[in-house]
Amino acid sequence: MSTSNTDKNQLVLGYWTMRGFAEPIRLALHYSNTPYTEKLYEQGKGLEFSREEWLREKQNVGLDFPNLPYLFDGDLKMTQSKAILYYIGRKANLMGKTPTEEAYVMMLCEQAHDFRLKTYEVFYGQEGTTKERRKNFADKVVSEELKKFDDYFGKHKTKFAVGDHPTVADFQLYEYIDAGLAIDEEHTLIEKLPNIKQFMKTVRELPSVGDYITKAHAQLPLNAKMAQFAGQVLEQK
Amino acid sequence: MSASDTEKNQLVLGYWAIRGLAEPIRLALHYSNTPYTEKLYQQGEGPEFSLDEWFSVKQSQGLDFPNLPYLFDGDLKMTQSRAILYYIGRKANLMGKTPTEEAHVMMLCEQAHDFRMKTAPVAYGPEGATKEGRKNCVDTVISEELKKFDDYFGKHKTKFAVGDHPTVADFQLYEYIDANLAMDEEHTLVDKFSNIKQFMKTIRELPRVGDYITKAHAQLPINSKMAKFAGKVLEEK
Repeated sequence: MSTSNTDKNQLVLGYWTMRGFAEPIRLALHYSNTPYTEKLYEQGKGLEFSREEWLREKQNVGLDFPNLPYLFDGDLKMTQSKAILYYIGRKANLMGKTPTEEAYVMMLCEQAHDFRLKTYEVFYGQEGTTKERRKNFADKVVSEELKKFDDYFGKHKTKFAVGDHPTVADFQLYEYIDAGLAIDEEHTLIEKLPNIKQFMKTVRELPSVGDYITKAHAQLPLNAKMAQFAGQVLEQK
Repeated sequence: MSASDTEKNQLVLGYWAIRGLAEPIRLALHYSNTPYTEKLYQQGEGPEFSLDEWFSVKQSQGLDFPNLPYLFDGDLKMTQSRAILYYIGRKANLMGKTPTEEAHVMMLCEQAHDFRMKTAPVAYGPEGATKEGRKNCVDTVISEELKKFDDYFGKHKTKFAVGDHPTVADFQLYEYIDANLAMDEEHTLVDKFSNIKQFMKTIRELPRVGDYITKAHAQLPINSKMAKFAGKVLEEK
């Protein structure tokens, strides 16, 4: 998936060959029809899981705080996944229509990010080592956190996460909820969360987004190769 | 410091009676002369360190995702410290003048937050309980991270963190750099970072900010009561 076509005025998004923290950004770019170049760094296989492909470039790409993901846009060179998402959102008018809407957009993005970090206990930690532990985590932690989002959707009754128009919050929520749901290997949890189920469907039906998801999520794993769980593409449900 | 004066159209900022993740918000509010009411939740003393003052009211504040800090602004009820900071920044024109400046503002706020989170486990854990543990953290992680910020200031040569006008990044950086410098009990580290030293002085000289810092930082501890380090106000240097 590494492209070599670098148009000088195109955005460049650099990240590992996985969904991870870059996927909400990719969803926003596809929805807004923003052309960009993917710069994908492969991790090594086997016991070492070498990160050399990135590490040998890391200090030489002109970033103030070298990190992945990064975004180049002309002279702008930036890092930090949420800052990148909000920047893309600003340029594509996906940050809500008022300061109050924008506040909700950012609150939801932060809350979703916190949830994604919680899933690390399974994806990269002890809770991911056995089916039983993953099920226990799904039944307790994932269930409890997703219920807050389900209640949010139920209370606000808007078509999208904030108001009746897409914002970057829709893409951050879609991706990180999907990652959390992957821990539920029986795929029964979502049936208990009808508002989330509807929301996920709404986002998948967006032009440019559904096609991208179908193609990309069959190729890009959720997590890094060294993950306890979902370091390879999971079987389609 | 709990104010009882709650004018209906005033902002209300709720948090523990510490600096923690709310302090950058407080600095931004003071700099922008934005009236607000502090709602401070006291933690209990050891060994229980009861959090009941908050937990007993947590679910009944009308928050979608109950958490501290929170902000009320009329009908808006929000959580997530960075979302709150950016909202205050938006209303007070402290988010930079262009989308590119805004991107740098948010990148710096995220990077500073990551820095604060990197050393929090030390402050709250066994390493923070000993002089050796703290010194080790200062000599390794804190030195390494501060150098990145020092290099950033040296490279961009602007009066403030982004451009020549204050933004919320100045307050996020000031507070989280100060919180980390506090672990250097010999107070020699900052002399190795001349750009950071100058930056901290610039912020303290801002109208209203310097006075607020002098008063508040003599009363509010950096961390929670149960922290092994800086759970009480430190001696003035």
